[in-house]
Amino acid sequence: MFRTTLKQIWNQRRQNGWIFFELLFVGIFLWIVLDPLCVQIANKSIDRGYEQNGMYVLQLEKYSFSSPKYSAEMENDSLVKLQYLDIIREMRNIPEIECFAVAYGSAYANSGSFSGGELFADTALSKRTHLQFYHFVPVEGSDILKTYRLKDVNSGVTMTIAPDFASRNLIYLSENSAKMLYGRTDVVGEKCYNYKKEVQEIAGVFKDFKDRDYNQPYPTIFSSADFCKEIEGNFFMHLAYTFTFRVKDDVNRATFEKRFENEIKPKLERGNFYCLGIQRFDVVAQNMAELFGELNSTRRNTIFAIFGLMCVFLGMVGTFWVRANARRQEIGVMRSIGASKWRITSQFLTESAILVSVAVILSTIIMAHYVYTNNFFANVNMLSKDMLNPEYWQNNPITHFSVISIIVYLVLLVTSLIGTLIPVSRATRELPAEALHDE
Amino acid sequence: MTIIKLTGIDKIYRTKEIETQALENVNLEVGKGEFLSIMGPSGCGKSTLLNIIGLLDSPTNGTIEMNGKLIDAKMSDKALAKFRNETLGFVFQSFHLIPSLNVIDNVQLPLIYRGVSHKESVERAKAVLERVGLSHRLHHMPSQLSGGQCQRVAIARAIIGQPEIILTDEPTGNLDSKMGAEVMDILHELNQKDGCTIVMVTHNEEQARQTSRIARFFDGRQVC
Repeated sequence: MFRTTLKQIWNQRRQNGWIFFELLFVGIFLWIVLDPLCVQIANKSIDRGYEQNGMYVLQLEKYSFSSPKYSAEMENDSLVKLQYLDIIREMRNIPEIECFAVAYGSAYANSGSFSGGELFADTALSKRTHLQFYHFVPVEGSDILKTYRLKDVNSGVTMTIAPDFASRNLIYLSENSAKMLYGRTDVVGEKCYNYKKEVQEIAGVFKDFKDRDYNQPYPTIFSSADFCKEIEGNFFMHLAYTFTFRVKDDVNRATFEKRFENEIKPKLERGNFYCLGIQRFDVVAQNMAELFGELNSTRRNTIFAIFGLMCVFLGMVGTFWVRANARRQEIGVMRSIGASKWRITSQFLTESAILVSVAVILSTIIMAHYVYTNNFFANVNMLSKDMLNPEYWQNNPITHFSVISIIVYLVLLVTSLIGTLIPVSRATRELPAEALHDE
Repeated sequence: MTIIKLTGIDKIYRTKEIETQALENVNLEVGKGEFLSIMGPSGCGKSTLLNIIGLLDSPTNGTIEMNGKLIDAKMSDKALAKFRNETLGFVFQSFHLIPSLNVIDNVQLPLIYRGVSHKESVERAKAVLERVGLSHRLHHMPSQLSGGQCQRVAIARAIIGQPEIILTDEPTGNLDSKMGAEVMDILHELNQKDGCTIVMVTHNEEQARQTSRIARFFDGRQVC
């Protein structure tokens, strides 16, 4: 039967030729349209490495010079520091808050701030990597690891900052940072050097951490540099030191937010500081995606993909539908000489599948050349290609190419099978005599 | 021995506006090895009757028995297909060859549906094509053949599965007299040598007279 089907396809090569070229074009079109969206979805679906739910950032502001509430007397570095620490204490004592972190330089997830630097394994001449630095300030019980609920890469247990973290100049590395520096993750106790050639000891390795929701995890280090071991009072300290916190799991977030707005926020006024409110981490992430154009890019790619898929679906279903309908009489003949409905349907489905398969093979070869010369769609912010984690399919050229090609193949296959199945099923359902008179 | 028995066959075509009775209370028996001609003016229901005998159409009322077996409307599609494949052979006025398959592939189809091996079906197709005088046209496409040749291919396709009954609907209707005669010779040979039961719808009085019996129809009723 398969041999006869192949012969029929070949003998109808003129009619099938047009469908074949249509499929070829559509295959290339789908490849180009689906690739960016698939990569964006894949990047976004990578685990953040921390629990975003329940996390907030405190929004502090200062009265401007022209404000009647502004007090020049309060603008003294020591006083400002005390006021800020007082706000931290006020926040820390809120019963709904489980833990908090004070970080330097807007170092919190999706803040948009990026503090990059290099780290060397053992000596300055050894293997090095570029990392994002999360400098945090270990004051008043601030614990960034606990607040983000970062998990130890080996045990999976939620990590906490060591009490002597600042004095021993300890650091915590993300899994990808450790792998890049040492090729392994069991590196607790290893020494490494920062750009000032200072020795730093690794106190823990946490699972890969996504600073931005839509990106792949960047190698990250949590450290407490000299300049942020203690809080320094200055005019801009509310911008320099960010207060993030996590509410307890059993706290109703809507109720807490309402209480914060009505009861807590007014109490956070110290000197020239006042509180604007709190912002959920998921809202921060959304704002970030919006501000950096990622939301628009995703929307654009989604719309292109939906539009493309709709066009392809309607066009290809129509093409195969017409092809199958034009052969209703043939279906009648086949039934008259003893072909069952299923035999006829399976023959038509096989024909469609063969046409699609051959066209996709050719379009895949064309796309292989295209990506070889133009590269894949990339949506990563790594400094170099060797920083890309090969475990993610979108970073491995062979896997990436295979995944998109398979998706394109499946879309076209399903489309052509639907376009064939419906008219052929209808044609086989009617009496053969009716089909034979359909001239 | 009766091989086809039709009892009380009615066929009514219904549309929203109109109801047309194509066949009315047809009772017909065809003996094994008989060559029956069905004659009548256009629109009298000859082809409809042939389609009903060939299980290509279903009667509104009445029963069909073949080889003593009642053909039930509840028979599964697979069983009906098997019955058509093994017991019946069709030869249509307009040949109904599959245009995208060459002669030998067209002829092989009933055996392919039966699950016969490729090698055997090719051998049997060659044999039947030689019998109908087309062994030199095995790889021609239907579009490259004359009407008479197409009809001989259709006959070859109808007999390759060695069916007991051959149903033909005006097999010479689209052929000139010479080719028509050739086709009739083949049908007579099949009837006489192979013992095939043949039911032929025809307008041709002369061809009908050559057969063993004539059933005449008028306005959906059998008149003799």
